[in-house]
Amino acid sequence: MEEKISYIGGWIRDTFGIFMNELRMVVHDNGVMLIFLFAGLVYPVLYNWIYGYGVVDEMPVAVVDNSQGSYSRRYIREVDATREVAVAFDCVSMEEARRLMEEQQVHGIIYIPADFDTRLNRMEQATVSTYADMSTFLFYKNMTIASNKVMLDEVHQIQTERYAAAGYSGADAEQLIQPVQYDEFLQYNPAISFTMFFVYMAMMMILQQVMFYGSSTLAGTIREQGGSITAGFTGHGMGRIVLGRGLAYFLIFVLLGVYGTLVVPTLFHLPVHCPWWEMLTLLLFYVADIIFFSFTWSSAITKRETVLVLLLFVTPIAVFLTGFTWPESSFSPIWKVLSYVFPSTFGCRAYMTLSMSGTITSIAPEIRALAVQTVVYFVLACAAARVEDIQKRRTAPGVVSE
Amino acid sequence: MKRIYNIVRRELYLWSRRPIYLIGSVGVMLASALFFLTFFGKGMPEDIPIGVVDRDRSSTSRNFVRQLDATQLGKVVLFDGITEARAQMERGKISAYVIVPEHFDEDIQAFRCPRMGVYVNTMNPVIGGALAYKDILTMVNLTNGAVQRQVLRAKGVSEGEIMARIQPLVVDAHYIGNPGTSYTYYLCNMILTGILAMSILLVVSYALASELKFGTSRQLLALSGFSVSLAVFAKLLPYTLLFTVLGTILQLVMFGPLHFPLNGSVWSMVLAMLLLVTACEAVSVFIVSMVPTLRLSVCISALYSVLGFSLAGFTLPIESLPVAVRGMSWLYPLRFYYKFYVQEAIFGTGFAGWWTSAVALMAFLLIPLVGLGRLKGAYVNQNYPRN
Repeated sequence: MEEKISYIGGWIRDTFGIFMNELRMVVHDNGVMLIFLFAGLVYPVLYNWIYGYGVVDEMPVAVVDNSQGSYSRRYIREVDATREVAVAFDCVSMEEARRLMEEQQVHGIIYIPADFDTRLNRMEQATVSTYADMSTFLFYKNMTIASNKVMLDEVHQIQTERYAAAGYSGADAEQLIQPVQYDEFLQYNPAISFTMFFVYMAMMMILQQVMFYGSSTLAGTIREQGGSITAGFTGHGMGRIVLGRGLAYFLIFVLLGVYGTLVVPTLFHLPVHCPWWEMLTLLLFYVADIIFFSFTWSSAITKRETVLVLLLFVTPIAVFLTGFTWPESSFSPIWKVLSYVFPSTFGCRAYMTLSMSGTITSIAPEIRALAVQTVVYFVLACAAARVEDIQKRRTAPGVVSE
Repeated sequence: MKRIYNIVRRELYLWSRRPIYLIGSVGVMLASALFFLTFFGKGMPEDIPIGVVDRDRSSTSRNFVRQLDATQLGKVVLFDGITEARAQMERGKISAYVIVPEHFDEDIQAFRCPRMGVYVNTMNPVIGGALAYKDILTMVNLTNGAVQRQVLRAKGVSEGEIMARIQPLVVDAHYIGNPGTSYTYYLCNMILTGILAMSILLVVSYALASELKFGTSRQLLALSGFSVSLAVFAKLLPYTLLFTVLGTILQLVMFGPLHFPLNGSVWSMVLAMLLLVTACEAVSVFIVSMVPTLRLSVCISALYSVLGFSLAGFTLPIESLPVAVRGMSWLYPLRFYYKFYVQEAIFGTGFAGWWTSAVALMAFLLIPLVGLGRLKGAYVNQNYPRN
């Protein structure tokens, strides 16, 4: 019994010692502090600021109106009235409009052919041509939304006029024109802004990447100086080392997490529809996961600077694997499997869902995935520490634990 | 000349001794190209899951569901209740859902104008919800058209007139520089170039600062006859070549066998790549001169280059960023490469369109001059912490 108690006591003492030691190393390493503080504290604000507005309003377009009739003028007026597009130039020819687009003074062209009004007056079908600048998808989106909205509205008006001419008016005409009606509800992001779509993902991604690059840099430093993350505790169970080190990061990253997922979004009025303790629950799972994820993968890092040089390109890949833009349902099987490697895949989705729905039950599958990942990565991190310890003892047989 | 040759030889020897240089450039680009060029599949998502709550279960409503399912873009997932559909949408499993009301069929026949509910998750402004929304609206309008057609046919109106009645106005949309609105074409060009820029900054900063860490900087200066500009120039020569070749291969693959749209000449793009490579190297030299320690200069290069993806302007256009951030974008060679690319690849305007961007990229080459003296001091005295 005594032995057991002293074992537990020793275990706790060791864990605490490792915890304090790791914290001390983090604080004294200015490279790691730069990553933690700058990326962890400044990036969340910076990204919120950069993407703060997130929509393109009144995108300038050029208009070439060869018809110059009442229908064409009404069409142009209505396009100009949309939020998405503003008619900036009235051009006499397509050449002129094209030149404006090439000079990037406008990002779209609306061309109305000469027979536009004639055809509409003759009750025939008329065509409007639009040309969108594809250098950014948001330009194309604005152009499409504006021209389609106005087109639908015009169709409705023209049909009403035509049915009126045929003797149908009021409710009768309405029933004929739109026998099926619909109410649309654009949920969660009614302005279709870039901000929410990008920032939610970025906040969680920053946590994972900062943890990974920071802790790998530190582990690399220790190994480079001939040490080992198991130094001083060689031969003991690896659980206390992994847990003790993990605890140090847990403390730092829960704080950074609260800052990045709750404080900063609140400052920038980003909707987070859940109570703070639910967000904290998600954070506890996510932070534990990213810590053991980082420990596992950083076991291959032997030099301090190599991790950034060799692995920074993983960041954009992990970003796309969260499925925040290209939908998960369109992933090919290989990339789907790869996406399960990263905690961010589940973390980002869970954060987005939780912020939108506001109930923790809706992210149960993601929490479960994070928990499974945590256990797997914990075991792997312990195994990696064990392997490192054995190698260390083999190469330096003289070194014995204290 | 002899000096330059000697320094280049020494650099190539270093490459063979430390794998980080080649893995950090060739390896990184290979892995990223493999990922991004295959990730977006055909460039447009297909079979986006769209939920339908069919409360009518008539032939008309089933027909609507079938039609929606048959579109290239959508794939219908049927739900029994709204609660379930809503939960699935919150979880991101479906991008939108439609509620077909009870007595849908009856109401249409009797012209009582049934109302459908269209719920869209618009979190994703580019694809996903936005596309599903477009798909659903098209189907609703087609259904309307079908009903009108029936009525007009019964009245004996001719087919041509029917079309003009149902759809008096059509929009004929053209997409300049990306006719198929492909996501691959839009993103891969700039993301892969962005990763290349990032890799240049990291590898070159590493190369320059590792001279300090390993204490070999005096040896390098001795080879150059104690001229720091010659040392830096010769040392970076093999990197310039390596990265320009890598970038050119990337461009040739994209514009060649992968058929990325290119309205201008591929050689102009190669020129842009060369300018981008040298501009990024210049930024790297500047960073190392200002912070001549390996770990800090690599960290700063990393922190700096990650923001390049946002500030180049290919995601959110520069015009809709806050004013101060617009100024920050001037610090990024990638921003000017992007402007160059828009002019040459999308509009094909040639020299008249991109010369300003080319000049801006060349202006980056002046930046290192600020810090070369400082770098020389560091190289000679090695008086900065090595770690």
